[in-house]
Amino acid sequence: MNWPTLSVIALALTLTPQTASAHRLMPAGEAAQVARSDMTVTPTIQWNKISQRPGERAERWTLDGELLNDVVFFGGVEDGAPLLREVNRRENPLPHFSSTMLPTDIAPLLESTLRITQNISSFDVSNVAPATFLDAAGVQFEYRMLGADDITRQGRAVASIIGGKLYMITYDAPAEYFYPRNLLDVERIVASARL
Amino acid sequence: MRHDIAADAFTQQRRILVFRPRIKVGEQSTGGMFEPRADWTELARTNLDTALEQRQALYGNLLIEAPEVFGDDARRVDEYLSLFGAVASSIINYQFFVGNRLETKKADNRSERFDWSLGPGVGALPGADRADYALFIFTEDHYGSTGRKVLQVFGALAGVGVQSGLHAGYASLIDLRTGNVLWINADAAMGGDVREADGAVRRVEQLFEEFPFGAAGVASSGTGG
Amino acid sequence: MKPALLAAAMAATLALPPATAWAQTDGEFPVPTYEGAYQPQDSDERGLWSQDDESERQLRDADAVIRDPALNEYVRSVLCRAVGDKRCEAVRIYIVRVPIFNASMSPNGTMRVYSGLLLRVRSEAELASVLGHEFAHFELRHTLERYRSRRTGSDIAAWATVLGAAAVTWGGGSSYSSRDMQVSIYGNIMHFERNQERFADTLGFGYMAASGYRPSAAAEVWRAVMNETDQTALDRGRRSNRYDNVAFFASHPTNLERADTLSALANRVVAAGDYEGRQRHETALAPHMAMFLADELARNDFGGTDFIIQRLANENVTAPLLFARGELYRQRGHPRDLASATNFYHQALALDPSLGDAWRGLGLAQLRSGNTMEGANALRTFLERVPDAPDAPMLRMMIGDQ
Repeated sequence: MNWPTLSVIALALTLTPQTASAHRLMPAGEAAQVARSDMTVTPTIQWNKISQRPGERAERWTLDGELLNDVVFFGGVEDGAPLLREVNRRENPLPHFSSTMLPTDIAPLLESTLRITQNISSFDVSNVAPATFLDAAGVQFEYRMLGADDITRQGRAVASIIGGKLYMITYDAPAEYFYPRNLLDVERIVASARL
Repeated sequence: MRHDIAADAFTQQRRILVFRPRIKVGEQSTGGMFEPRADWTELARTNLDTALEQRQALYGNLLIEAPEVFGDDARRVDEYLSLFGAVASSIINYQFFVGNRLETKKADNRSERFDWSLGPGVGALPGADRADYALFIFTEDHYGSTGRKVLQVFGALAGVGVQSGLHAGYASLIDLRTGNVLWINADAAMGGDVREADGAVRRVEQLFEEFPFGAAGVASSGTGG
Repeated sequence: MKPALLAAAMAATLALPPATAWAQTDGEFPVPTYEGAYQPQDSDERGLWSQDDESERQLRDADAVIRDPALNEYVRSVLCRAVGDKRCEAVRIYIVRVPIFNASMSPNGTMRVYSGLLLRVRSEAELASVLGHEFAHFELRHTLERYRSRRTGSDIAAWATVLGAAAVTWGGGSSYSSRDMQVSIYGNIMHFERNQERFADTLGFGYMAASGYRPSAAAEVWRAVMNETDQTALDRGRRSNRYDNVAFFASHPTNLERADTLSALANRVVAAGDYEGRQRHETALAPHMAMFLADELARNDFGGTDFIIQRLANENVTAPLLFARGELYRQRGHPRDLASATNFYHQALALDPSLGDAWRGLGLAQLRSGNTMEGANALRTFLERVPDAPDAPMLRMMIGDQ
């Protein structure tokens, strides 16, 4: 059972009627600017954009809900900024991106961020390889993580540092059934990314 | 209810594999944080088990208890239970809950589509070879603590709605060949205090509302979920 | 809570049995005869005490549990040595992969030991002091329950208050409990009162005395965890001597004097043994240190992690520890840090030139510092040793070898 989301229900129920604004439909074939940046992507199937931004320069898309498929766009995270919104800056500060980071520093940055924000208990990185992303030399990698809800998720990320800022797209989903189901759709999104 | 099920699917004799329900009970602190209570959870477990046994009697040999498993088998079952939890809460959150619907799910609602699945891997779970469907049951209860109740009173005075307590439950039928969610009954505000025997009976009644199977394996009338 | 009543009860129960199953008993720190785990007599209590409870079932099957037989055997052996085989029988130990210092025991005999605890203790004696303390809470609660069951009805009301005090209350206080976590895996967070802590310390010292473990290890562990918390705060630019945000201290209220009190108590243990078990602990932990250190590193707690590594290194400087320190500084990544990291990697390699990951770390630190040639050379050495490393393709690109 996934505790975090049921608590979201509880939270949602505690709010007065005008709650979060509606999630937007991202139609197939239409280019969309993401993460409050100049990065655009063109999905080949329709997706949903979650109204609440997970970070200052981040945007989340999903098909069935982020527990089942989670695509996050990072559009120019700046030097000294965290990837996601701080959960509790005093007690559990998130690591910060640095412009001098090497391509191999991106996966540990993501790992530490997810461990702190989502209580991931194990995180294994594999297939770290060069990639061209947004017409720049970047990095891609895969990961496998165990969540606080005891679900094993598989993930994939691609990233480039351009002008000292981090641009990245991550996709993760339960390893069983969900991850492979939409992998191709995500790969097409990534292939369509432009800056 | 899944949109493309044949009408006669539920009239023939079917067997349903019932997995051990996931039960969680605790307290809500003043700040709304959840504090689990092992003693209440144990009470709920006992009461719900009894109520389910009584329920089972209504359905004759339709319901089969999933086998007790250990080691790797147990971990696989648990992984699917956890996955189901994620699917069910996504359904509640993003298809049912009015304030939060995903656009693609709204479109599904309009065309009466209901398309959710755990994937065909469920067919390999222990016991799945002996049944056609699986029944997953979850309950989660957060009882408002004194602090939260006080807050509720003040909140009411101030005109702000403060939810005290969460009493969620879902029951779902999964097609063991495809993993498709055929039927789900999900409610975040269910009745019945599961810490009491009669409350658990009431909760089970609610969970089984519009259950597509009537007594003794005959399909119930009505359109179902 | 009625402290006087509680104290009287404790005194009565602890003084009860004259002869014990132990070879050595300490006058001031008696260990009572163990009557076996308390079994609930009526259905009211079944909820609390059920052997087959939901939490443990899920824990048993959870993926976050570390099942390595050798490590489990080691932890069990320390507990059994500390509290004796008879007490140990009733306990089911689960090692959980969570990088924080904590251990807990449920009323039904499930003990959870977090990997962060195993990382932070340096010897059997230190581990025994914590496990023994947790078991003491468990035993004290059972003793009270048993005492209550023998009393007549008119006393029940009075006992209710006392038991209320001894009963665990559930609640969260640490980063890992403040979000909804699966109770089964991470356990409920218990709050003990100061008085209960005193009794648990007393009984805990009884175990240490009877089993020959060095009693002063307890004080050292507490002191270390408090110092670590201070370092974390310091590094984050905060001044703090409040410890209740640390998981273990949420359960066990403590203050600066606690470690001193423990030291003083230790000095009063008459038949004190001095068994430390450092070597045995290091051997048991060795296969898992890399994983535990990597998990710790991912917490983004520079001050705390540095403290832990240095404290472990004070006992025995090993290549993995030096490597971990290199990783820590490299991760923070300021120019001076990169220089420090380079230094640590060199030291690690001096101790163990075959530590492949240290070559990787060295190479990356050099590259990031702008020392391209040295960096490339180090990475080439790494790739020769570990050609199928997960990031080999990326590294090859970075040094210009495809």
